[in-house]
Amino acid sequence: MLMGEDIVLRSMDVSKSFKGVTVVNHVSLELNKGEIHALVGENGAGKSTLIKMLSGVHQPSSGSLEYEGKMIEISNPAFAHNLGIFTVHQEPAIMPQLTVAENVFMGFHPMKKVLWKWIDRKEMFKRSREVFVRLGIDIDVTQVAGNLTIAQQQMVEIAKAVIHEVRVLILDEPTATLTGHETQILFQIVRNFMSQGTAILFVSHRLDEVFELASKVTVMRDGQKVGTYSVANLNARELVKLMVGRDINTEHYQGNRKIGTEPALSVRGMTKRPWFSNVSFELYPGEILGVSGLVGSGRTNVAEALFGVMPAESGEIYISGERYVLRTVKQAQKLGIVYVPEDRHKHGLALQMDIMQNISLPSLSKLSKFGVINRNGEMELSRQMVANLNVRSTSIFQATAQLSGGNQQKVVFSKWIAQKPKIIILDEPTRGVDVGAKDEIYNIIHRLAEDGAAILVISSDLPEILGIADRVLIMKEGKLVASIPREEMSEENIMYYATGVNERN
Amino acid sequence: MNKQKIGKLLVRVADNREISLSSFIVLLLIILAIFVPSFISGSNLMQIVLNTVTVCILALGELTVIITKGIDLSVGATMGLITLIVGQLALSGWPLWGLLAIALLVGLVAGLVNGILISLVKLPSIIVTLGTLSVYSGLMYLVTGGNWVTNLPNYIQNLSSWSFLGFIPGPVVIMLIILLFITIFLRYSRVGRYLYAIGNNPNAANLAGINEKRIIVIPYILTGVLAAIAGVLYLSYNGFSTPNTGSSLNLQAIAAAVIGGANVFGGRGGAIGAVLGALLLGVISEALVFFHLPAVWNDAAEGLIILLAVVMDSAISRTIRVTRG
Repeated sequence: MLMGEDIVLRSMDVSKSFKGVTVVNHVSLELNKGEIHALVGENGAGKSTLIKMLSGVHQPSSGSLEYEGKMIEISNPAFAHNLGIFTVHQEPAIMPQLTVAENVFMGFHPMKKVLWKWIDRKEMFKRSREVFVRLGIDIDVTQVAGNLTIAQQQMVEIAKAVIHEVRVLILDEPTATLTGHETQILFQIVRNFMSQGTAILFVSHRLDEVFELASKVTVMRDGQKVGTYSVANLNARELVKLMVGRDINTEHYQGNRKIGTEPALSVRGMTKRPWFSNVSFELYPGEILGVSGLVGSGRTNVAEALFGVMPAESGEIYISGERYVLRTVKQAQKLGIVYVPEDRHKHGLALQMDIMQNISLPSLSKLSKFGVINRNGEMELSRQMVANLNVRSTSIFQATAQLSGGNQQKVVFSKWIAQKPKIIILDEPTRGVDVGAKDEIYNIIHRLAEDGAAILVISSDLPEILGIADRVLIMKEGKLVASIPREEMSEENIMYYATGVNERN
Repeated sequence: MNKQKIGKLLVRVADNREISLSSFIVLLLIILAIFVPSFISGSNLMQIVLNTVTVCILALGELTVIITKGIDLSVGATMGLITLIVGQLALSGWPLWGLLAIALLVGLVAGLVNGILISLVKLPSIIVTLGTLSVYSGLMYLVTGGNWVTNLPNYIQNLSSWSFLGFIPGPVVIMLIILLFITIFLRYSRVGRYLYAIGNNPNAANLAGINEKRIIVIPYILTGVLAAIAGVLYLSYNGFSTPNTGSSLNLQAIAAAVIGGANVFGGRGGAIGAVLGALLLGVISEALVFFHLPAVWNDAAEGLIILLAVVMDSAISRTIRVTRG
């Protein structure tokens, strides 16, 4: 048999841009019958967008798709289903109020004709029971899907594929929320599909799983394909190198700061299940401490616990040597902790309100007397911060919605720095910010550290961590797995710990 | 280039609801005056304002709720209930101070019930206030056994029969004082600012240390208290009340706030706009009277204006987004 005849689905030079930003850049990928193909890459490498093009959620901006040797346009997910292309997303798209069987047959309910076409519930339950028997899973198909565990919900998604003739099964980080045992069950099911000739595309952050399951692996980086490799010819180190493979840019690093000897923040065994457990570290005045790890490794949850948004259930937190139980945001603020959240539109800014109103919001208690805001004080504070951080705007009365991403981020910074904090937690401080503004934000961070603030920087952007951090903590699946000093920092080193290949080798 | 500038200016004027709404009202008055010159006589205009006082006051309360992304459907029923309680007690000889105290107390409790159910039980405001609307309306029948209250003592009527400088009627003066208070509250007070922040982005408000649960109760209490003031004025001015009083005012109050620039998605709206919105509704219903059109047209005209305001709102925000580029 010729190699070409085995190809079920292929993308040829597909690209996708959103608002002028290219997310996937000329990627060609071939999925073969009866083969498990892994897709790996750092956060933001373009994996999800590529998958969405294959499953009809997005249409390519350029390039084409070929299915069984014919050029096609997959205009929507329903069309993909008709072709036999099924995607199991990381977060199962089930309807929690409907029964398992109804979810499995969503859109394709068996019908029975009595004067009119009605859903044949008996047939539906019978057939969905058969499907789960085939999958070897014990689920009551008459219960509502919302009662299922995440793992079981994923099985429902897979069952959807089983009732059709599934030619291509795409799994987007299916194991991120599964336990070890559940993962093994899933893998067994995936292998069964493979032996029946289904082409499988498996996206994972966990490289050990890639080695366990896949025979081929495609590496993506910055929207481009690095290459497709046979898993047998690779080892974990080599794969990590392919994933990061960038020159390290250290021009931002300014290491000649004075770092204190008494920790500003000390965390002992902090736990909040299921997000993180037994997290311990120290943060010193003047230090910029990076926190790296994959999305979902619990980094943001740790930050939220330290800011009192989602208090930890156990463990000890010491601030300047004194123990505190952090329960509310207000309390954290009073202790001199501030948090610049990851998503400035969702959590950082009130977009319709003006720059001044945003900056002064957390400081209003200090700025008011008998509940009346001191207008002059408010304007003065905002003008000061805007000048300090070089927020480019027409006036402090401009709505924040009208600012560029970088200037919006500076407003969020202003809002918190105005509090004169001792401990600053930054979550993805330069996401969606252009290069020029990035440099400015790095300078602000350095200035704050020089003034003695203790800074925790959570970032998925490895060059960013390498560029500014004095030390980096690495989280994986809710645990702190490594603390790497400046001298030993490298992208490879960080990815190595974050993806967990170290457990294998 | 010039065209663009004019376009931007037009958007700015349209975006400033106070200016666009008052221009619209003036324009409407001029057109009406062409047909019926007596429409814009000083006494008629003052009459319109006087007729609108209760809606104005209710709309100011409703506004503070809408800013937080909430809605209070029970405001008219709260007011109606208060008119009947006060009226009934006045007939049984209660002194004035006792009546005022009981009015404020009932308003406060009614608002508190709404606020606490919404804040603590975490129910959507539209559901809670739909429920309390029924309860308060039901209580109205219980209070009087379904009867009207009339023949009220003079000291009730005297509350609204005075005037300031000889030509500004007492109820209008009280309404203007409330307007001033709400304007200051929304613009210059900390809690006022928190209401906008919560309506705009509750997540950001939470991270800024604002206790949403506690703050969110305040606008409902305020609305209840304003309903009490509106109720006393209504009773005093009309001299009677029925178990139906206030039933149409719920929607008028909401309409006035929305026409006045309050955004039902929260975070936007001003006190002067809400009062202008109420005045516009007042002018329209008075115009229908002048043209001898049946009152049923009132509802249709009202609905049309609301739709117009909402459409304008979304058109403006879209234009602003586009011109920003």
